[in-house]
Amino acid sequence: MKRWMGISWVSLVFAFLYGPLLVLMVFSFNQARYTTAWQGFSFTWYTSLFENQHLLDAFVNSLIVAFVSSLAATAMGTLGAFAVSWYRFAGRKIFFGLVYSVMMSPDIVMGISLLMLFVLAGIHPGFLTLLTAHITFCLPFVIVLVHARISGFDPSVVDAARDLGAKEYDVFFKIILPMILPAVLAGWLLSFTLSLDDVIISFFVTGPGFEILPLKIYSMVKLGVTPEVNALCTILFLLTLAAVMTAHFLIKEKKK
Amino acid sequence: MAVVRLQNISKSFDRQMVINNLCLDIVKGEFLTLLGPSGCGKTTVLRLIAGLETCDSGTILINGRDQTRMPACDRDVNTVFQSYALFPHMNVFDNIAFGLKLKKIAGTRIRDRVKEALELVKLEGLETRPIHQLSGGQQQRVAIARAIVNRPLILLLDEPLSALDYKLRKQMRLDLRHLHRKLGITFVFVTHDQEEALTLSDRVVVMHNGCIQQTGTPKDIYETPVNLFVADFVGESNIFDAQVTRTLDKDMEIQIQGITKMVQNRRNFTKGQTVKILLRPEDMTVERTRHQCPPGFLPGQVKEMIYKGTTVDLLIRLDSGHDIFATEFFNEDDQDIFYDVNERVCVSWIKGWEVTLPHE
Repeated sequence: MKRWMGISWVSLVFAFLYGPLLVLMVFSFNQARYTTAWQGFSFTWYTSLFENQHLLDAFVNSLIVAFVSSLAATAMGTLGAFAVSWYRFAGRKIFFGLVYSVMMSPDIVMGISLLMLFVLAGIHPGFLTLLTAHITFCLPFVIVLVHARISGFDPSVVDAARDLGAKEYDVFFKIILPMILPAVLAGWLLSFTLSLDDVIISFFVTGPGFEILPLKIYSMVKLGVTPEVNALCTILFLLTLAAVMTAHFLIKEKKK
Repeated sequence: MAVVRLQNISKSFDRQMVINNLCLDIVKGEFLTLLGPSGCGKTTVLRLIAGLETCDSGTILINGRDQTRMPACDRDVNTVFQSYALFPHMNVFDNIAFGLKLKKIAGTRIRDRVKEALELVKLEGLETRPIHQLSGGQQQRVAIARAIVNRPLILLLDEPLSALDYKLRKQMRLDLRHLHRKLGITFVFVTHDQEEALTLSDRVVVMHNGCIQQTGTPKDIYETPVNLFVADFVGESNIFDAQVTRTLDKDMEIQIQGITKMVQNRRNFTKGQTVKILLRPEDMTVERTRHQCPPGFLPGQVKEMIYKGTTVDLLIRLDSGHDIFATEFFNEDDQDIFYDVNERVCVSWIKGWEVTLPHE
């Protein structure tokens, strides 16, 4: 009896979480164009998706922004995590607190403040502003992840490496980097997915000349949900799922 | 010749003096122990020799050459760290081979030397084991192997046994002595455990507040401590105040706890001087009495009896109110060393077994 209740409870939670996604994925294979009734299985919308040049352009733009911004955020965030974990300087705790507050602050606030900053600085919204904004909101995640990893290991391993003859270069590439690599990769993948599916902040900071996928979908949905959007969202979801699962696996590995 | 010579070394952290004008010669091939309470600067001395810290003033000579400013990676010295500091992302082989690979030694020779090092620490065949699958004792041995595989001039050991349980610690002590004899290199060992220091070392350096208190063989340190700190830190001591009432040739008469007693005068004390008399619990003689104590004995009462298997420890309150410890051993002519609580006893010691220090 208890077991049965447990199973039904878990299924309920999963239905709640994944039900909407499942509907979307199933209907991306539906032949009908306008109705929500099932009219047979087909790949039509996937093929028409790949023929839609506007969508593909936006997708490529999104990938470029996600790739570059996640890479930059990872490099900067790793160095930032090092600064807070290894050096003692005034305001170290405040800095770390601020990192959390950026992570927690509502997207709409971030979007508007970034927009105001760019306007005040006289920078035209476009690729650069979008990239800067994405680096900004990805950065705290990388710092927190890498910092957790660094504070988890014994600082005397660095002394041990130096004692055994390692120069600064060897210490970094043979000891520190291999030890924090899982967290760095996880931070990078997480940033990539965060950047890829961001709508709100991007909405404020991008210009008309540079269209990205989430905003493109948003504008398409205004005219009604088409099956192409379903197909596109399915692909996007699977891509994000793969990245998040890899990141999760990398973070968990350290606890061995 | 001294393999390490520390000359007038001083070191501060955050304006706090940790090492204060310290001088020390370490003899080639000896097993030297730095002993002291936590915070006395012993680990800092070790890190200065390793090159992991730089001193504020003074010079460090290693093998006759000035290496005061030489970085750790260029020194012919290796360390076994308290936390072992093994590289968690490498297996046993890669940990041990780390130093050799940096020296660009050929692969086949690395393999031979790692194998040899593992044999020395009795971990044959564990090359491919990941670090997190080793027990604490095994990790300790890998840490030692990783250091000795480089055949350093000096091996530094920073409280390497403190994380092990009692049995393992005793075993490792024997293994360390054996290893020292086999390798013939200089060992510098840091500990706060006096038993470890006494059983392992050729020489012990007792430190306190960044200064050396006494340097000597374990026997010197235990039997003739030069000051109250050493006497108190190394082993147990009963400490009495006394006054010199008469001096004779090599002896002197003192007034102690209300009685007069003859003791040896090793330091030319003069009449009227106040001195401290130090007595180890095992040097006290305890006798039962129903009546008055004979001359030269201190009367008292047993307050506590602690059975320890091979010995019995007595806490005795002298009639003067002073509490002392006395250790009685089981032996054939005196089987009965059990006392009742509140039993009257007389306490004394054999002339010459006391340590006399000037009043500080």
